[in-house]
Amino acid sequence: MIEILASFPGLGKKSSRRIVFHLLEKGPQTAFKLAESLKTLHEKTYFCLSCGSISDRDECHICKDPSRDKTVICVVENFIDQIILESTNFYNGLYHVLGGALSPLDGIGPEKLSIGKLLERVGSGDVREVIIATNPSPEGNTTALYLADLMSDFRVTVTRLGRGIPVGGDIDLLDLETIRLSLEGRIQIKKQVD
Amino acid sequence: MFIKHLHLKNFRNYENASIDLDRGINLFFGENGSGKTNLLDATHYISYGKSVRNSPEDELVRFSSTGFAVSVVFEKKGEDCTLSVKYSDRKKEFWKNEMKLEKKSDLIGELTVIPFSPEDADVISQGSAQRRRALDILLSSVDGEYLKSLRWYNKTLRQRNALLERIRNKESLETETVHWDKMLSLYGEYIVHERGKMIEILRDNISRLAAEMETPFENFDMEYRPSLKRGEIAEKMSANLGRDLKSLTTTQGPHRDDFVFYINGQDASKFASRGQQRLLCFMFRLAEVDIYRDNAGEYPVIVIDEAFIELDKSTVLKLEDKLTSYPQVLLASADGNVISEKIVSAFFNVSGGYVEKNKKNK
Ligand SMILES: Nc1ncnc2c1ncn2[C@@H]1O[C@H](COP(=O)(O)OP(=O)(O)OP(=O)(O)O)[C@@H](O)[C@H]1O
Ligand SMILES: [Mg+2]
Ligand SMILES: [Zn+2]
Repeated sequence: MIEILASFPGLGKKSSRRIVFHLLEKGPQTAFKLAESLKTLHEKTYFCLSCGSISDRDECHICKDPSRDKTVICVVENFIDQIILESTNFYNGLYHVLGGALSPLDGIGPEKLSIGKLLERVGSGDVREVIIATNPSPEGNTTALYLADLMSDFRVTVTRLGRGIPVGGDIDLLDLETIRLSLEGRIQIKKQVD
Repeated sequence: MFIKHLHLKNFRNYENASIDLDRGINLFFGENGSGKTNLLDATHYISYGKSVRNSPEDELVRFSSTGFAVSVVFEKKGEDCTLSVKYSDRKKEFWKNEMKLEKKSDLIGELTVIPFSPEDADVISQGSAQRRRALDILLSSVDGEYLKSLRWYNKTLRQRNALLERIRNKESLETETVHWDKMLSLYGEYIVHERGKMIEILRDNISRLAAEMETPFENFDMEYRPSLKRGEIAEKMSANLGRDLKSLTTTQGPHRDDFVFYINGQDASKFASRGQQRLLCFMFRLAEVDIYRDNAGEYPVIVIDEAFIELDKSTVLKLEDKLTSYPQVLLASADGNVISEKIVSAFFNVSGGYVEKNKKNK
């Protein structure tokens, strides 16, 4: 069990051991409750059919919200990145969650990411701008380049969220001001194609 | 800059040593195994947060002790500064002027020591990996953007090589290399550009030093040999795909770059004598020192561990002369007479983890 926990993001051997000891100390009740909730985790969680974000039903509250700007899509690697961008209260468009970034070392090619769905959305006609907010890392940058290439077939402006993001910094480590600034100063990577 | 005071506690074979250093040349001499290298290593540790050979901290702790401490008082641009590091219970703490530093990277750049050692000559005699490493260390320390590009290049390269394997196993398509190649060339172009500029600067510096010191090199030259030239990286990367798929590795690119030293028109790695190679290497390091000075506005502290072996008397005299022109040099040798007594500011007799300071060599 310690090994399983230690493989989770943010948990090391030490903290995993602490969790296991904590569960042992607390007695069987706590462990039972945790096991129950783990069992239903996947059953009770839905992914938005449109953007791929975590939701409690088929369409998430952002995609459903009539006040959101449906002409802009911000592409993020994962759900956490979306939450962080959302917490800036600055962005009013829609999202698209890729489910990661290209990384052959981890066996992740384009087929493992939610790219077909994204192209479908972009091709539907309402979308004017796609902001690519993958992490500023070799993998995130390559993924951005890949998406920009695919998107050159559509009549959309593709921009890259980038300015002000520190070297190797994951989006989830950034402060809100930095994200707001980079949203304002996003750079265009492909001219609009006629 | 120069170090005024060094204090070691349970570091290597030192139980408790307090050393006052002078400006100019400080000579540490003593028998083999007395602790000269260990003492110089302490200055490296406090500058870079790691020992010269990157030994694990537990090896730096004196046998039968549980932790060590090193502190240093040095003058930088006319102001005193204190740095200290404590290691105990497998935890490191860094302090600057009694203030705790958050992370190791806050320490780096405060005190700069440039270590010279006999192994430096590997840069000339050994393979291209050693030369790239020397160049990359220099560039990374004066240019943060370079360090970032290099790291990202290496990561992208590993991704591309993993992709080659996936393509061979029919798990990925050949077309997927396109974007990795673009990324590699983006980082790679910057690396090649900066390396080219740096080789030019090093060449000019070495030529100037050689003339100034009247070294017996005629027609010194240095040439950068990039595996792929500037502007052609992207194109060549994709052209190499067939070959790369066969060997399952990226056969050309900045990770295969090299540079050559020439003396009298001949490749120094092949034709120069051992002593000539050592001298050339010494000049290469001094050329680096000038670059650090131009970058920081002040000379770093030069730390030399036995770098005079295999050099003839007249060459040593020329180097001595040059060394007196730097703010501070720490020099260690088993031989108390490696250099002329008259140019030494302070002698330190090292024996069994004890250091005794003398004005004269006794
Ligand atoms: N952690 C440690 N605790 C105690 N002693 C140590 C420790 N690590 C190394 N030593 C001792 O330090 C000595 C080596 O010291 P050092 O390499 O500084 O010698 P030196 O004066 O440079 O010798 P040389 O002239 O051969 O280069 C060895 O005898 C070794 O046993
Ligand atoms: Mg030694
Ligand atoms: Zn949605």
